[in-house]
Amino acid sequence: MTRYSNVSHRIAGLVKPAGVVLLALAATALLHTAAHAASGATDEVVHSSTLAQASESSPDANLPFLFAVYIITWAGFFVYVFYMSHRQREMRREIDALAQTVRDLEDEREATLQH
Amino acid sequence: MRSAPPAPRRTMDDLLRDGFVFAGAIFMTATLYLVFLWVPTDANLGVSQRIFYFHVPVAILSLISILVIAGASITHLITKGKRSDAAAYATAEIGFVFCSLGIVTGAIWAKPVWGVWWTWDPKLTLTLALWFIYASYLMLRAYGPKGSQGARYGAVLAVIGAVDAPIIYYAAELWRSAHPSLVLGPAAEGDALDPRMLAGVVISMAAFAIIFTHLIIERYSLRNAENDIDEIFQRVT
Repeated sequence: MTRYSNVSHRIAGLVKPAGVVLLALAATALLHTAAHAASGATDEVVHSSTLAQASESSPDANLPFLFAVYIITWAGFFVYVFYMSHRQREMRREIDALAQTVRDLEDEREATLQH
Repeated sequence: MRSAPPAPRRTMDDLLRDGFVFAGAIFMTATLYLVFLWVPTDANLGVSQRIFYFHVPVAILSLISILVIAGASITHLITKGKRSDAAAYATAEIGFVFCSLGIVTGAIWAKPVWGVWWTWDPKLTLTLALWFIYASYLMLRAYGPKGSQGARYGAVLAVIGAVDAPIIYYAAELWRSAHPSLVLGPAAEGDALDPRMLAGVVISMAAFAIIFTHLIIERYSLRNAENDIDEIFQRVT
C-alpha cells in the first residue's frame, strides 16, 4: 500500500509540470483567440485570386472559437496520454520486479531440493 | 518509520516517450493555429475544406500502418520472434483507429462537397476494404487460435492485406474517381495546393505522425507486458 501510494505520488509529481506546460499552451492559444476574435478575424482569409473573400457573416469569423475548443480538447488528450504513459512504465517496473521475485523463488526451491 | 523507496532512474526509453508527448503537443498546437487561423479558405469548398488537414494525415497514416504491420509480420514469419508480433499487433490496433478516423472525417467532408455521406468510389471502397482487413486481423487475434499459431495466421493476413495500401494511394489516378487528386507522397502534383495550405498539411502530418508513433510505442510496451505476465503465470502455475 505504501509502495503504491509512493508510486502514485511520484506520478502526480510528474503530471503536474506537464499539465502546467500544456495548459499554458492552451491559455496562450485562448488569449490569442480572444484577441483575434476581438479584431474581427477576417484579415487572414484572402491570399490569391482563387481564394474566397470572407465577410463578417461568414463561418470563418467563428474559426477562432473552434480553435479554442480544439486546443482545450487536445491539451486534455496530451495530459491524459502523459499520465497513462508514466503509469504504464511504473507497471512495467513492477512486472519486472515480480518476474525477478519468481525467478529467485524458483532458484531457492531448486537449491532446497538439491540439499 | 519507513522511508520512501528511491525514485527509479530515468532511462532513454523514459526520455523518448516523454519527448514524443511534448513534441506531439507542440506540433498539434502549431497545427491547430495554422488550420484555424493561418491557412486561407478554399474558394470552392469553403470552411469545410479545413477538415482536409485532419483527414489527409490520418488516412495516409492508416496506409503506412498496414505496411508497417506487413513488415513486422514478415519479420515474425522469418524469426518467430514475439517482439515483432507484438509490434504488428500494436500497430494494427492504432492503424484501425486511424483508418476509422479517416473514413469518418472523409464522410463528414463528403457531405457538404458531394451531397452524400458515402459513395462507392474506388478509393472509398478500397479504404473500406482496408478497414475490414484491420477488423479481420484484430478479430482473428482475439478469437482465433492463441499463441504462435494465431500470430502466424495474423501475419499472413497482414501481408496479403498490405497489397491494398498502394492500390488505395493510386486509386484516384488508376480509375475515374470523384476523390480529389493526391497532395502528398511520391505521386502528388507539385502545384496541387496553395503553399500555405501545403505548409498546414505538412505540419499536421508531422503532428499526427508523432502521435501515431507514440501510441504504437505505448501499445507495444503494453503488449510486451501482457506477454510477460502470461509467462510469469505459466511459471508459477
